[in-house]
Amino acid sequence: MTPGLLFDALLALGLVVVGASALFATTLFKAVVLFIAFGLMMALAWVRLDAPDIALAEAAIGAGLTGALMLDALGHVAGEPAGRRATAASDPDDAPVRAVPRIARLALGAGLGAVVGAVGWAALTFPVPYPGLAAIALDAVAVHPVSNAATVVLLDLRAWDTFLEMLVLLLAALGTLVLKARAIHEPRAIAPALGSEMLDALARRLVPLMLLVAGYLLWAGTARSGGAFPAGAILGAAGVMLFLADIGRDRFADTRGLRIALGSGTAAFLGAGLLSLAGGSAFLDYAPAWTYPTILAIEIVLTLSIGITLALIYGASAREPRSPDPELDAEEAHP
Amino acid sequence: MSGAEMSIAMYSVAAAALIGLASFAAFAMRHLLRRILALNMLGSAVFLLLVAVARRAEGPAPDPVPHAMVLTGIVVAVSATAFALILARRLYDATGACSLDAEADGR
Repeated sequence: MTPGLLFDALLALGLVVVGASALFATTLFKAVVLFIAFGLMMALAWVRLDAPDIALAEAAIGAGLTGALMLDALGHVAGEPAGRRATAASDPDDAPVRAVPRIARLALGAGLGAVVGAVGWAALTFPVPYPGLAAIALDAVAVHPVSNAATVVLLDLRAWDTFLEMLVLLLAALGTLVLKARAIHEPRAIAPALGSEMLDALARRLVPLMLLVAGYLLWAGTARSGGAFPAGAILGAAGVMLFLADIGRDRFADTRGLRIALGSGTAAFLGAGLLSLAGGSAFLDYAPAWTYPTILAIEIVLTLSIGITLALIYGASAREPRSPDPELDAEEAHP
Repeated sequence: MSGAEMSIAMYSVAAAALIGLASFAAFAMRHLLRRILALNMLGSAVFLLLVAVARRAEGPAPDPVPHAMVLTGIVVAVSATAFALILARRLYDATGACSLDAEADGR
């Protein structure tokens, strides 16, 4: 058994063990911490499966941002609701499995066991080479001015998918911001400072480095691993860092500039599509001479849009000061 | 079976197992944060399966199409998770409970 194979065996086993431990942990805090560890192990798995772009995005988003969001939500629901009688359901440490009776659980387990068997069997007996788009895509990449295959697929061959995906991101961000705006009890100005001196010093040193890495990934993305998604993920992580250290909080306020940034990713694709339509070809079917500059322009806008959207999503979910008086809540909800 | 094929097979089996475990948790758990975490992990398991299958493509490089799907999928997953979490928090603010189980909330 080669060292690589041994590593893969341990990692595959570790993913299942850590994943199951996170799902069925005795307390929610344990569950979230194990979930973050699971995200980091996933990033390793992506590297082993020759997907470095995904590994970069996963490390920043899967482990970092999602973990931070879960921890914040846990902090919100774990505290006793102010002025209300704590109910049994607000106990964060309740037994992991309780929603369905035992019989239903057994049936569910049996059904899902069959699903696992079918999925595993299908994956193991998949024909090689499999009928798919790999050959077509790689042939197109070979003659494309952009040489990173993932970037070509994302921004040219399957640009429609990415366009609509940016729309999904925009809608999720708007939903989060709208719900957050309605939940505000007190003006932001009197929010307690979250930062500590350590965090402040760390953020002031790390954030410039993160911006540098994001810029590099964006530029490298046309030729090798990188591109708008990993770069945007790291930009978003830098924004989260600033939030945590409480630096420049007012800049993240709901301003016109930030709203434009939220929609700019979708707008960039729309603009490129309309330009290609005006040039006489299909929507998002760029003219050959314009392919490289168009993709580069979309990548730059996309990086900024994804980064700012992710940071805003975190900012909207970051811990709020809670009003101590429930009647005040009611008043503020209906001014 | 070559070493690379064995590695891919192991990741595929791990992905299948995680799909089952995470689906079970998403259905059987009561606390909403646990269910959201389980759904997120279910997404990760599907991504792992997609990329493991993409690695089976013959040729010098893995199939870039599933890679691109997973890359966008990760960003969609985190934004959907953020939306779900803020919905759960609003539910908690409104009812003091963090589950969809009406009886357990005492109302």
